[in-house]
Amino acid sequence: MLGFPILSILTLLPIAGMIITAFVPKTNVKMIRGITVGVTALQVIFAIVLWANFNGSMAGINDPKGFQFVEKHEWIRISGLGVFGNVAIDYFMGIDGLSVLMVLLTALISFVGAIASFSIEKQHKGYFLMYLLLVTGMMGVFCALDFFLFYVFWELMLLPMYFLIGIWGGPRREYAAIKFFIYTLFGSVFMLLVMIGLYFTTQVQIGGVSWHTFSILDMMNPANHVTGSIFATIGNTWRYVGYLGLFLGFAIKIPMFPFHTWLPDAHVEAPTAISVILAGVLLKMGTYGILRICYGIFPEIAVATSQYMVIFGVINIVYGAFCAMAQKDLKKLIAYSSISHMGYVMLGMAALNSQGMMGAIFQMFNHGTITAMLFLSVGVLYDRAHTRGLNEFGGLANKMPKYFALVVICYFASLGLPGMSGFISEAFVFLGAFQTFQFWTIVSTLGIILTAAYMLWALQRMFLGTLPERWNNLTDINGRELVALVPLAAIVIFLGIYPAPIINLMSTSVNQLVTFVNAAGPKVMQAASIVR
Amino acid sequence: MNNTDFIAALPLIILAGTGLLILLWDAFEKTPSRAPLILTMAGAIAAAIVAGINMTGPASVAFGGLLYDNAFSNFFTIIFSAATILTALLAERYLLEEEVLVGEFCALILFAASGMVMMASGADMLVIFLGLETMSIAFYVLAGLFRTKTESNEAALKYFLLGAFATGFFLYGIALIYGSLGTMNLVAMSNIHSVTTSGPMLLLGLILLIVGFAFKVAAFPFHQWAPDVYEGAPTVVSGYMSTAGKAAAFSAIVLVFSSMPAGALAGGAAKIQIVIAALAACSMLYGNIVALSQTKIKRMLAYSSTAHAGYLLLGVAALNATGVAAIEIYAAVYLLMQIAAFGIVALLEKETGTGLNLDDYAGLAKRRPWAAFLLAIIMLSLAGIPPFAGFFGKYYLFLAAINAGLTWLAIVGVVSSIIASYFYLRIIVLMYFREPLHADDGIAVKENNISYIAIGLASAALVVLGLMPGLLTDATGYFFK
Repeated sequence: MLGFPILSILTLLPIAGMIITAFVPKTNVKMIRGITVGVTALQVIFAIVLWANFNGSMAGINDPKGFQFVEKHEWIRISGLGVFGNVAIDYFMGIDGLSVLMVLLTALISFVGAIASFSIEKQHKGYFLMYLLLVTGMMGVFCALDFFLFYVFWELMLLPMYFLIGIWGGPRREYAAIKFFIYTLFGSVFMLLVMIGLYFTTQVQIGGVSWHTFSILDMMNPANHVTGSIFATIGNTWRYVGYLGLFLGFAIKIPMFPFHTWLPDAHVEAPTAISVILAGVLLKMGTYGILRICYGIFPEIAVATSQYMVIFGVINIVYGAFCAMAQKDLKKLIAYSSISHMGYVMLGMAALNSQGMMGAIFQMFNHGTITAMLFLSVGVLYDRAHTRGLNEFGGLANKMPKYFALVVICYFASLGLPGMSGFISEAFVFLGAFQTFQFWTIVSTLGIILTAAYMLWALQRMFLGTLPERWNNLTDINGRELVALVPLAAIVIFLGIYPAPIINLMSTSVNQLVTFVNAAGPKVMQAASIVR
Repeated sequence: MNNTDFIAALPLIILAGTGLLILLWDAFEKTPSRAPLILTMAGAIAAAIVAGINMTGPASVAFGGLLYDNAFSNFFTIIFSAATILTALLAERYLLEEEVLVGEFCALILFAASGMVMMASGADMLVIFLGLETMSIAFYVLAGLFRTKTESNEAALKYFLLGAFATGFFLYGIALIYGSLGTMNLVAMSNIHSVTTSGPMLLLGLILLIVGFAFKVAAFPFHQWAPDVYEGAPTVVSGYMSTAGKAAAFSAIVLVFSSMPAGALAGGAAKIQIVIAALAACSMLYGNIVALSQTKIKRMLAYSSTAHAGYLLLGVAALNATGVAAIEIYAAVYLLMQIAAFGIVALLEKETGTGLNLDDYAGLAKRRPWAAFLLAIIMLSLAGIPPFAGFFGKYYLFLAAINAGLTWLAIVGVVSSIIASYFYLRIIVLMYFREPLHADDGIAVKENNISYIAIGLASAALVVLGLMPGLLTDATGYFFK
């Protein structure tokens, strides 16, 4: 345990950066950029400290004692309205093996994104203020253990994202921004309703007084459920409704077919750095939410519905890959490849065993780093050529050799070449899923072939063949872009060869989650048989 | 009148007294100046302070059962005073342009405020009625404040005719309730333990009362006057009417409903609850859907205010303590948001009455970054996005509804908020994502620091209350101790 509140520092550091930025004159662009890069670099340092102090043998999940770096302060206390009005909302932060990887990923991608933000050309001050707010929101989501706090961070990240796409985006930015906003809001308001229902369901004793609570950990324990309340008692049909309400909110974020249509629009219009954040971190909030909240609070429903979730996962994989193949815009291709890759995460989660779940979480991390690289590489080319049309390029390999080398690394990582981190996580996912859902796993392997096809085809069209004359004056990748790309490439290759550091971080927690969820499975069967 | 009676009525006396003083001052002083505005603010601040002191003291009923002095009444007194202060700050530029009306305006908003205080603290239905009329008559005149403008006259006449009609319903409702319960005193009513006469007459009385209230809060289907009146009335007055006026009506409806004897509601509560829930659902959906298609900002705000009345009705439909607390919280938050929104509209309005189309807001962020920034906060809060106070208010209302078993109504509420987010965000889209349409600035903004102070204060309060809603909920908590 550390002597200082590291999670609050990680979460609130960007706010401090915002306050400093607010006093910098808007013409001093260098300073404004410097503050953001400095703050995110500090976050990376703190994240490394966190990693070094993280105890991989503590499980967490549903055990309050298993969480690390816990901070708990009273935030909102309303008393005197009788037990229903006794509102207890805490500032409750803590991480376990599920979230530690996401915290590390967020710090890393935020830093990379800050460097990629140098290519922003207008209203720098507003951009970096919004960027910092976004980082706070993302970090908070992964650290919060109080549902209300989680929800506030979840929505907090929506606002800057909306402005970042809407102001600094491409030609159809308005449409993309509002579509993103309305889709996410639609999901999250149902999350809000379920959250209120869960609040009334959960009751704990504090100092001899009954309090309803928003603590996710308390919600997980059926002993805290008030008899007869809406989400109490395993086997209660309302619990399906609750699960689906939460799932909808998270599924839109993943994005799961058929709620995926906002993603290609948002990606195509967003500036490079924002695409990096969007694909690198934001999508993981959906799958993280399902693992932490849906699986944690409604484990028996997770067991009962995993057979449907796997189908959606496979649709994501195959449909996303087919769509990617049909794209002529490089950014859109990567956006659809994200949908396809997030399908693997869902496949692994639905398997409900250690290998699958571990693969899913590892895949979340790897997709974060690999897709961030992919979008960064698109940004490099777009900043020079101002187009992303796949068919407009050719023979770039000779013109931009260093760039080509990096692009090859990230394309191969994306298609799951052995030796890269993506291979390991996908292999784990298949290993896990094959035990539970053989048929669907076999169908999903089609995705691997399709991914290889569209990735290699894109590589061939852009980098091989003859260089069109108009691109004769393209310059190779520069130092700043290398700073953003090379660390990610190093991580991808390192984890591809030696994944143990990451696996060790999460294995205890994942095993705990698998045990916890599966233990609830038979209960629902029993309850169902009692009802019969 | 003994000492406690006097203290209980002191905020009311201060507000009305300051109004009278200003009328007197106005008769002797003919050059327009800021003095009445300053006096108004001083009076409102004094009333708020007295109410704040009263709030911490023991609850009592003054004047032999006519006037409540408890946390509920004092909470509303404070928010009415706050609304009066904000309105006076915002009105400064507006009134000095019109030159002659400063005194009348100030006196009228103070009379309206004293009417509202009577509504929120009335322990007898007649006192509530008296308050309602005091407030309404002041509003009729305020709506027609711009005597030379046709729209202003139209607004005043329309509001007066329909308002008088609604008053009839209201009075008839009181009469029927009196007929079935034998008293008009709320304290006496709440002490009736068994109601033998609860039946169609009481139910009809309650429904007529609801019709009267629904008109005042512009709930569907009694909202038709609102867009025309809000559009025609001076913008600052629209802001005052649509916030403080609504809050007052809600305080009165809460008082009447929470005083109904248990027996009466046991017979009719389910029916009443369904009626209110239906009103709430229709108001939320209708207000938000129609607001989508508006092209003028004042009309958009008017329809959205119908939707917000629907949200508040959700708290009434819950018929429980959480619902009452939720109404108090949301009334306060809504008041800040809506007054500030109308304040910015007033700031950007040209003397000729143009600059009120949504298109005029295009590219505002480039021309007036502060106005755009503040309006963005207000719009996000109105849409109910955390961390702004509008979110917590809405959350609390949904909490109350679900607590009362009205989950379907909460679902209607969230669906309508999604619809609403579209038109609130459209303003932000226009301000931040678009280029200005007119070369000549489109909207006139007089650099007016006082208005900015008022709007800035309200917006800052929205952020602070959003992050620390405990400040507000603690204040409502007194009511139940």
